[in-house]
Amino acid sequence: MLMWKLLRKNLSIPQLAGYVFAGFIGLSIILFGIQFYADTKPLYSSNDSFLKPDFLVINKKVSTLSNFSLISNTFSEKDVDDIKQQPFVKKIGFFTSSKFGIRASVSSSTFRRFYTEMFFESVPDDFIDVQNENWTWSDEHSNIPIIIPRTYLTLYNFGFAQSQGLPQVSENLVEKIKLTVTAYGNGKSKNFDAHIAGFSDKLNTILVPESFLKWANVEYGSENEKTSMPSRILVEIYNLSDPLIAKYFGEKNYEIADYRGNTGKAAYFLRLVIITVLVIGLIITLLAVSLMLLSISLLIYKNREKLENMILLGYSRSTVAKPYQILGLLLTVCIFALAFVIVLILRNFYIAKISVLFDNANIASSLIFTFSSGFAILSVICLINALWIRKKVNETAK
Amino acid sequence: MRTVELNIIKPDIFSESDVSGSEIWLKNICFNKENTYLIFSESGKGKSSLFDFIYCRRSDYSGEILFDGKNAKTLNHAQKKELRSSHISLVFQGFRLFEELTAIENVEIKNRLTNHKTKRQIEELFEQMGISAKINTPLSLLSFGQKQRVAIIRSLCQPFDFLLLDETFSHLDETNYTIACTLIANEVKSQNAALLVASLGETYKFNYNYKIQL
Repeated sequence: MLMWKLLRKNLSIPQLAGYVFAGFIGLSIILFGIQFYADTKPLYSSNDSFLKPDFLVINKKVSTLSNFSLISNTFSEKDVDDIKQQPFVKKIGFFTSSKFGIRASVSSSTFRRFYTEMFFESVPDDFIDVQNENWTWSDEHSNIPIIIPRTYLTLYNFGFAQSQGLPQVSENLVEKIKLTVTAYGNGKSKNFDAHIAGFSDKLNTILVPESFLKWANVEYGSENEKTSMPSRILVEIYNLSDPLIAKYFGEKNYEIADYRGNTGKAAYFLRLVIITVLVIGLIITLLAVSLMLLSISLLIYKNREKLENMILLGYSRSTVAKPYQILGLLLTVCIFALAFVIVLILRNFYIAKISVLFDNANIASSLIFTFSSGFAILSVICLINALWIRKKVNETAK
Repeated sequence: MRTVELNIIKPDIFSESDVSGSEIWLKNICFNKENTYLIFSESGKGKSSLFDFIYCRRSDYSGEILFDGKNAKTLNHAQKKELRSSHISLVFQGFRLFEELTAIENVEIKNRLTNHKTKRQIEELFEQMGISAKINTPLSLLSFGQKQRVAIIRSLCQPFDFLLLDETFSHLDETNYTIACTLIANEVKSQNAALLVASLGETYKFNYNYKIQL
């Protein structure tokens, strides 16, 4: 206490308040940026976990003429052979369509009972990540996994549910819903249990395992359905960055499905904005820290005679430096606490929207991430501060 | 620590002719524990410099100072701290007291390093020195002579083998410095320490073993 009474002399409250204020602004921006990034991370990282990454879906461009059947928009056998010849193509696959009637219904406490007519398609299992054990169908009694386009869920959450007063649902919740699929045709019908196994950005269709579709087509498919040539083809590519790919498909007037589309661009810009915000926060924090270092240097300079006298009395340098180091530590902890509180408050404004769409579990862990990032920044600042003060004390008292 | 040995030392600022006639500069001399030394000279002969060298505050001298054979210039920060808190006590000519603290706080800030004296003992010292009324007064409000007495009390509040007084009684009348000398002599005796008194020629009330011209 006696030492503090002595060494607090010449302490500039406005300067330290300036540090706390600037540091608070800077650290708040950084922590908020980190927190926001963590909370919206599913936006950037959502991918087709069931589908292999290196394949493309191609189709012929649909033109007005094709409406009048003057130009076919299906691939002929010649087209398919030509594509197979290309050096960048590893293999190609076709979509199989359901040739029987399908009715899917849902009933749970969250939803009113409803049912819909629908269709299924499948692709060869080679194009699905076969290591994923969820993507199997073995016999009539097993549960059918279904992959639906992610846009369906977006459409439901932001279009349908909001206008009809229905609850919004997250992907995890959807995957827990039990579905009943009724297959009918050929004078037979049967109910199957099914569930949503995943979401896809790449494929705008409803996918089921090929084994199920092949079996069901035989069982319920109408005989008179003729096999037509495919309008879409899956192409597995050796190297997606090969410039030949775009050149070849461009010449042939084929379209490559732009699977990321606008979501990808929005995510990119969002990320850019967050990085910019983080950099600004970092700059402000650095300025605040320099302000503190400058302020403490000045303080030590003004008190240099006292410091020297203390050391001549027999005090160690570390003892003399300690009050200043503790001062810096307390101020920084203060800043950290304030910044963390303000981030929590700001977060409440957007979290309600976000938590509907993503996983609650992710949100809990991301708070820890922000806290630990903040703590890391805090530790670095305190370390710099402590070393700087020690250096200044050593310079002052020889 | 038993001896402080000076081996042919000379401040860098002095030329050889400046120090002619000195019994310390450029000579070999050894200060031993339990002896009392008077070091006298007129102003400007380097009394304060000598004490600064022994106290390891400055090292701008040639030759060597040995503490029990250990060269003063080789001491690190921790060893200097140990030297100043437990082996050598110095009453600075400029006191080096803290204006922001009260008289007793100035003493306590030294005493707490080693807890050499109890609060009661310190208060007694203030009483004997005749400044007990000023015990809780901020130092900035004390007179020069009062500050001098606070500095003396502070120097006694630590264990020491050598006590160095740098023109310590300049602003005290005979009654006061007689009291101060008695207190100092008692403390020196009880610690079996050596006393080095720097003065302009005045001998004060000590019994010297050696009188050395600087």
